[in-house]
Amino acid sequence: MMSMTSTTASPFRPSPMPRGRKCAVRAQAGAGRVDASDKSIEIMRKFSEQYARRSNTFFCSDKSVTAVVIKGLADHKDQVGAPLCPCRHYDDKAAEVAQGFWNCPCVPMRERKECHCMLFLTPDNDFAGEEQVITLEEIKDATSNI
Amino acid sequence: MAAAAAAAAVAACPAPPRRLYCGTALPAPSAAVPCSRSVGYGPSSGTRRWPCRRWAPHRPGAASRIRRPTPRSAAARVSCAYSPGAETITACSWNEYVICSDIPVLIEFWASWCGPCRMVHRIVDEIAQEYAGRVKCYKLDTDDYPQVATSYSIERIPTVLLFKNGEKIHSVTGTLPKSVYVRAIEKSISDSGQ
Repeated sequence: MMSMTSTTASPFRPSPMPRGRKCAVRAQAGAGRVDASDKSIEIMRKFSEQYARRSNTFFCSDKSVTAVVIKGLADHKDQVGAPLCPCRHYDDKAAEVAQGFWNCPCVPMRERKECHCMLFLTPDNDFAGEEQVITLEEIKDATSNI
Repeated sequence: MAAAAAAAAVAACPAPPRRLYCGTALPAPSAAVPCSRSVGYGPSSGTRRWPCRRWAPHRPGAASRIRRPTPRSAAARVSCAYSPGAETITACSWNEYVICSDIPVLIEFWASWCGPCRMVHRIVDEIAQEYAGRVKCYKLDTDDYPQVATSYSIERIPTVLLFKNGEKIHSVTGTLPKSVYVRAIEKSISDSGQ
């Protein structure tokens, strides 16, 4: 799987977490949700557009779904250091990040174009829209009221 | 005075069902807020002749709390037992409202930044209204109560579980058409011969 990671379009190094960081992540998670920085949202937005084009997949016809997922990825990137899939429940997020299976784009997406988060949808999916672009404003609008 | 208390109690009714008093994160703030302060009155209120003029008009939640131990006023209870949409459930109320429920219970496990969960929210809210009285619908945030999600082996979200008689009888993972959920519910209802 390591070789797979290195050949993908992921803009993220599968860097292991710094040792001391684990506790800090836990503390943050307990204290409430930390909002993703604009920078992370922008990084994930660009990545999503680029990966959609590259994999010939499309965003959901309901763009608010796309926006929420991108925001979730950015949140995870800020909190745990990697864009862990926001549509899963993890016992130990730090361990998952290190393991890398569910770092976006996750292994099922890379291998079979399966994104149960509905960020990248194949054209034959009922929920697929026709767009591969989303603006920062769209993301902010859709996530501001959550 | 008694009439005033009754009026206050009725006014409190559109708030979430009083059976959910344990829930901490109820959407409507009116009933949830005063609960913590009125707890101290609970045991002594069994006498049901509480001189409530002093505080009942200001704390409608407290009035309903006094009324809770008395088995009367069933009509009022029926009228406000179901709020529109699915309610939030917590880990501490899990046993009472899922395991001990006499009607089937549908629970949606979700997380705040899960896009598809929002689509399932809408479906579950619709189901909650259409099946009001026959199926109870709840939502549980897996980030807030990871222990519950872990104990039911929830991995992918959204996941919808259907419980009957305290047992998990059906599980739907992912975003599916409403008909899938409805079919599972219909089956659970018809199986019990109701």
